[in-house]
Amino acid sequence: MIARLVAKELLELRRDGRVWMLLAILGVLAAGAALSAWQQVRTQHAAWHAASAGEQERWLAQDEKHPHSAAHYGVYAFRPPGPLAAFDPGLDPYLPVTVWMEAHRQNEALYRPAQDAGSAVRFGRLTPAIIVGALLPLLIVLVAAPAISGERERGTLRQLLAQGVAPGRWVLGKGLALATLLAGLLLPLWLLVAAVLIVASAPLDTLARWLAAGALVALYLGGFLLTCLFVSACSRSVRTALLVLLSVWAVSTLIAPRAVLEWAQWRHPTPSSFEFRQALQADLRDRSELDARLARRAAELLEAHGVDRLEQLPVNFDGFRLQAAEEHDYAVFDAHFGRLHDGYLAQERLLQWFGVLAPYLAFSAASSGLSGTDLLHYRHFADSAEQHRRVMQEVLNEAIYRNPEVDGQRYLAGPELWAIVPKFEYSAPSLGRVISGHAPAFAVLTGWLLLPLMGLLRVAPRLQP
Amino acid sequence: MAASDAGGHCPLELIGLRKRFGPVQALAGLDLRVGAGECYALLGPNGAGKTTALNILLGFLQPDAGTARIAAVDVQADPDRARRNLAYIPEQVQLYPRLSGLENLAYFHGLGASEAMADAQLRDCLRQAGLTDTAHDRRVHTYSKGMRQKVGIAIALARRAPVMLLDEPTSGLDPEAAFELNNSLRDLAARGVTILMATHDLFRAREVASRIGILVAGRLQQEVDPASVGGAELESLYLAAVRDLLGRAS
Amino acid sequence: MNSAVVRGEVRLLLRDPAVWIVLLVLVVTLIGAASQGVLRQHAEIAVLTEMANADADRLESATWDAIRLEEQGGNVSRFRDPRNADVVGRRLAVQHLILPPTGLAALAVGQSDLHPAWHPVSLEPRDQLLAEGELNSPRQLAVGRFDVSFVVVFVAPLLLLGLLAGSPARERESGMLPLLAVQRGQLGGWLALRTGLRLLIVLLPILVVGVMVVLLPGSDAFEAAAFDTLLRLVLWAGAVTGYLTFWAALGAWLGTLVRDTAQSVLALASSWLLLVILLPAIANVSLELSYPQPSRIEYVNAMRAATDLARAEGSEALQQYLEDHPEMAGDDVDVDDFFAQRLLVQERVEEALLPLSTAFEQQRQARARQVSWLRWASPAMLASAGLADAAGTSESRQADFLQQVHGFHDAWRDFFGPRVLAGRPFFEHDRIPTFEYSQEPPARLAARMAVVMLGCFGLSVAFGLLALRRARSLPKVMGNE
Repeated sequence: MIARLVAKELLELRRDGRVWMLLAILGVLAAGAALSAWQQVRTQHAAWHAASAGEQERWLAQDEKHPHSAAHYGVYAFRPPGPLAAFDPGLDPYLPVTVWMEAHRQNEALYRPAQDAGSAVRFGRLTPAIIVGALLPLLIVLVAAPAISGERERGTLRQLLAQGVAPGRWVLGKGLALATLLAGLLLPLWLLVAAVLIVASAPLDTLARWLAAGALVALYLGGFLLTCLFVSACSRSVRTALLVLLSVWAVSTLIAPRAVLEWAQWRHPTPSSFEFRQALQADLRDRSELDARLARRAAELLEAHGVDRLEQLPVNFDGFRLQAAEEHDYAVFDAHFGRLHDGYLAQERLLQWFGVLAPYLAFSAASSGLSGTDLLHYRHFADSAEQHRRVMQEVLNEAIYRNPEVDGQRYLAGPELWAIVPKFEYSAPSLGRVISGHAPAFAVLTGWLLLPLMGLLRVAPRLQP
Repeated sequence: MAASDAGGHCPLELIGLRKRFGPVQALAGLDLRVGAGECYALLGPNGAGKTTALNILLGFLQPDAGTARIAAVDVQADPDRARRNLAYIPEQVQLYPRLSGLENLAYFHGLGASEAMADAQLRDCLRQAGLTDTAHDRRVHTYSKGMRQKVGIAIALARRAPVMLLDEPTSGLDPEAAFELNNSLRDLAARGVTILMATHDLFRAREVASRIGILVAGRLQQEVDPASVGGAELESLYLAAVRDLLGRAS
Repeated sequence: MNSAVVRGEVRLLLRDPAVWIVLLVLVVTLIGAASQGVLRQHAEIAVLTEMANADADRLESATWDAIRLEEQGGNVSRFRDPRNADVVGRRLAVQHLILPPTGLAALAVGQSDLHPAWHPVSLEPRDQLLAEGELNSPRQLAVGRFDVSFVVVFVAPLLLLGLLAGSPARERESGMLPLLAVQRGQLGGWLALRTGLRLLIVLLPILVVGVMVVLLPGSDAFEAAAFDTLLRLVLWAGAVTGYLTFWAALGAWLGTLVRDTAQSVLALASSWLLLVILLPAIANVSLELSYPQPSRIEYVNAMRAATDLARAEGSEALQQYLEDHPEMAGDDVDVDDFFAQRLLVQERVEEALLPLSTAFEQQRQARARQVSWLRWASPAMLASAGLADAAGTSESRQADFLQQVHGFHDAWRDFFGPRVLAGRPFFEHDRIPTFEYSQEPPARLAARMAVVMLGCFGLSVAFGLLALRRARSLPKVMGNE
């Protein structure tokens, strides 16, 4: 009987011109969004590839020079597009695209793409993830709000119940039909992308992320569908159901994200750049400990080698001095940037929990996480770049240390030293880390699935005409 | 007078039904038994409690007191089982406008039946209900009200239930359609189906019913044998009952 | 239309619970948005003031130190010597040029969260200075702020349409329309009255809150000229009125087209979705596809390639100073020459970069021009851009400021450059260039805003006329169905 129910619902939907129109609009939008996102990621990827290779090439092709000159020449680390950035560019336009790894400075993160995009672009962003997260729920509202309330309003529900149909099974049939419609829309697309990923021999991690993204979408849209059915089952008229569900949609996707972020900003304020730099500079300037360390080390060396001037040492003390200064800065940088990023991440976590009120928040946090375009990934990248910078400084300073001046001639390093500095290779954090970082979002979305389900299980068997 | 089964049960029984909505006593102890093959017309003015009685029989409302039984099944105790023995034609038959008459019938029938009916059988039902063959496959949004009503009758016919409830079945039908409906009802009754119709159309009631009850203020005021009274007599009986009661009330 | 009808309509409105719900939602969101704006503006002004004070204090103490050192003598490293032009121009006299927030900055965040309201100017490389910016949370940048502009552009139309939903469909459903038509003959005036009253319910609180936020005491720390503030306020109010009038006219017209309330809810919601979400999105996507934004990664790559030679030469020139550590380079090093050399190297690198950075900037501006056409895709985008413009947080004011920053940077270089190269002691602390932000001529702003208002009011008139025409045949049309 369920099959018959589903078949009839689908037949009705198929004959509804409005459904086709909505699907057509959505289809055009989705195609445009996907094409544009894909094109952007492709260009970004090509640029990233070319620039990274270029940097490495230029690094290796440096002339003979003092290692510290090379340290100032530095290397730019470019952020690769996230594994699923074409699905959800997430925060990509608002995250710096590159980090300059130079001596003495950490986190010279530069250039948010949005700064070059123009103002109108911020108004109506459209990405595949936004279509799934914001527009598909709207389609679900329009189709599912009248599902039960409409039959009640029209009087068919009365006849159906008089026919002796078990209301629970009837509601189940409704739900399955709508779920079939959604799955019929999304599953082929999902499979297509999966196939493309497999054919393009994408890394296993990317495939796993795509799988998880599919599960996330199913969870989110499933929850939305159940919410719609629940509200529809409780509403006397289509108008009421529509008003309630449109309000839920507007709050979830429109008002809550901004309002909650203001709250998050208030709870975990981001310092102004001026305050941040002032505090950072103040700590960097405090070099008493560093000076003491340098003096101690100098005395040790002089004593060990039995000489009285640093120039007489068989090592170049400058190398130690430079490295010690870097190391002194590490702790300061770590503390300050750590606090800054912790603040961002605390905001993100708050956002995920607020998904309790607005599931879209949880969805967008998790989807940008899986796509590798959120703050978690950015921080991971920035940390990797900083780790690389430290290795680079260490190698170069070590070379200075080991090569004292010979006959007043300063040591000049060549390609053999540049080659020792490893190439900057970055890979995104594993799926496990991403999922654990977004556990609140997944938990909240599961709640959004279970709660209306429980409500429906209570309401459906006692459905009143 | 009502034919009962071996266990002494009539297919349709209402015993001491009471229902109150706030200050309004919709049913004030309604007793009614309708036997197999009988067609009972419940006459009454607006607000007399006809629809409340039907809603209780359909299991949509809980009575405050009393029992409703369909084919010996207590409606309140097991509404699903009770409804399985029931066909129902509402005052305004509502159908899915994007499905054809035949598809609507197939769907509604499928919901209640354990097995699907063959197309030919369904078409038979539609024909019996008076819907011409050319209309079977047209979408319902092109139907007139009478045609929709006929699909409703077909749905009821296809159910082959022992009890049939009708709520103002002829309201809005043209005379010819109403005439056909009455014929169908008489046929059904002849085949042993128990029919209860709520109506305020005295003349149609007299034509088709084997018994007529006059319901006023939630109580059966009078029962009439239509064969023994003329149309004019029935009307004056009805008006007298209504006025008498309303007069007393005011 | 006599006063009895107006009184009747007002009475109907006051007794409609929907009106009170709309007012409640509107007032709550407005208060939230306005207080966010006021707090934000205060914090921003505090930071900017602190920044300016820190600059002034630093320069003042450097001036005194220079005099003291010269008069009393004393030992100080050349790297901290306030008589060293390079040290002064690079660190001690660093000036943060400030784009002062206008009196309306609390009303719209606009693009001000993406571009800092300040730029440091010193002898440091220009691209490095320009790259400094605020640390705003990327999530907040992506989502947008909850400001009064957001309430006006997104929420208010929704509420207004909520009030208009079911009018006159409800009258038709209840069969009241023919009665009204018989009473009045024509329904145009009646429709205009009820639409106008509903518009006022949404518009007035917004205007009141806007005026209150601007006139709130304590928001004039930057001495925004009273005339400028007043002009901006008038333009802002005009844009808000134009935008919401457009929605009212559109709502009234759609209301005359539909048959019942459910349809009316659906039609109005769809129009909101179309104009506020879908059209901007479509415009954006088509722009991205046809006119991709210039890639910063490509720019950095090209920049590195273009400056490679200059950098290599620079490394060679600075070799003797251990790049930037002449203090470690030995006793025989001429420190003053180091400063000169460093500046020359920097200039050579910048020279090599110039064609590239100019080309990139041109690309940016070309794209910005394309993007500015986008706002015509939807009144919502038009209004959003207009409100930011009125509040002085638009991209164009930012670009104008940046121009001034560039000009000042040149003046800075011209002032300090020769003095660093000369290597003589520096005592001209009081002659260091100072920056004065020059306001955009009011007429230019007014002209831009006039275009926005013209757009909104033009559409209002068009839809209003359509609605009136439909209203004339309303009972007939409705009666036939």
